[in-house]
Amino acid sequence: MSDRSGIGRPPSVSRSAESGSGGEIGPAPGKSPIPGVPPETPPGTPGEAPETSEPPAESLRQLGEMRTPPAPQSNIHVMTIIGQIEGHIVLPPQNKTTKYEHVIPQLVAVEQNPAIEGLLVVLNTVGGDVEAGLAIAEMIESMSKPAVSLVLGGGHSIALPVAVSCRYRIIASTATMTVHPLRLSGLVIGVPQTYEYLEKMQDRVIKFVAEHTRTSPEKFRELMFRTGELVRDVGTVLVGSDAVNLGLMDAVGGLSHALAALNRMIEERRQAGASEQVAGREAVRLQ
Amino acid sequence: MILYTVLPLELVLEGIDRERTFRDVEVEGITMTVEQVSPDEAVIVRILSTDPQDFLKAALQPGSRIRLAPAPCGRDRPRV
Repeated sequence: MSDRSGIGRPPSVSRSAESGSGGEIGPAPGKSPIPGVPPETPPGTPGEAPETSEPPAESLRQLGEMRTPPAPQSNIHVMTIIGQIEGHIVLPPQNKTTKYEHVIPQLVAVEQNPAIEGLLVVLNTVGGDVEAGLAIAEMIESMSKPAVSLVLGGGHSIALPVAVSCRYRIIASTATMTVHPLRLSGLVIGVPQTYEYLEKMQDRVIKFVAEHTRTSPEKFRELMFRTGELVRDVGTVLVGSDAVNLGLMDAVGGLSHALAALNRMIEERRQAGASEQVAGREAVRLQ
Repeated sequence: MILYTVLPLELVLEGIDRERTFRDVEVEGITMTVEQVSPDEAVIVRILSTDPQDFLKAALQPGSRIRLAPAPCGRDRPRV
């Protein structure tokens, strides 16, 4: 999910050093993780020095991964949403999914971390769970830091609210977005209220998209229920510029456009920052 | 959601009925749920923390492998 390295953690400390040699998991040597249980070995015992200077080749052999030299810390956090957004069924781990329970607190951290000034959301997803998608979308939308979305390949179904939750949205010219009605899977209780509930769920998505784009709710609903576009389904496939023409996305472009837009917004925010802070303090005082 | 995939359904669903055993361990003061994959290795499933910055640590993303120390003599398993 993240390509940031070493926040709050010195990059020189090897991951295998976590194990120490005390036979326990994680803690520093000589420190027991269990309250009341004395440490395994007294401090200073030979052979229990932290393995911080382990050569890279060793780590490669043990973990099958390469340690890259630490890069200067970026002020942008990249969140890639690839695969499905959760899922109606919990698929086995070989399937790519958003770790929603990880992404949500990560967004809190992005908002709170002073070193991060902007968020780039890269989407290439088939969509997924409505609740999870809307939760991520609402979190991104309510962030004070600028966010830019970049849709590559496909941003289908519930990925659409996630894409439009960012302040500036870019779609690759070959990328597609599928707009289609909501569905329920699994056990459905066959009462009329089920359908009313489904309608209500659908309205939430329509409302969110309409509020954050130049598309009207009526237009979006029409796209959702259009027939004749998809072979075996109801809905619309929007390719690149279609999404921009309908007002769902802001521009057709790619990575450099997305980063340029984000850097511009970060710069604007920096400049506005000083005066806003003063205004914020005034507001607090007035309360 | 429509799962567009070139993989046959058997591969997508492979291991869905496999019983996975999770346990909670503490690494660098952060509690996390891990799945043991070998005697000395585990895969992080979920971070259990109230500090949002813990969720940004690149080494502790879900799916990362962590090494667990081999058990010393007299104990056959690391304790949790």
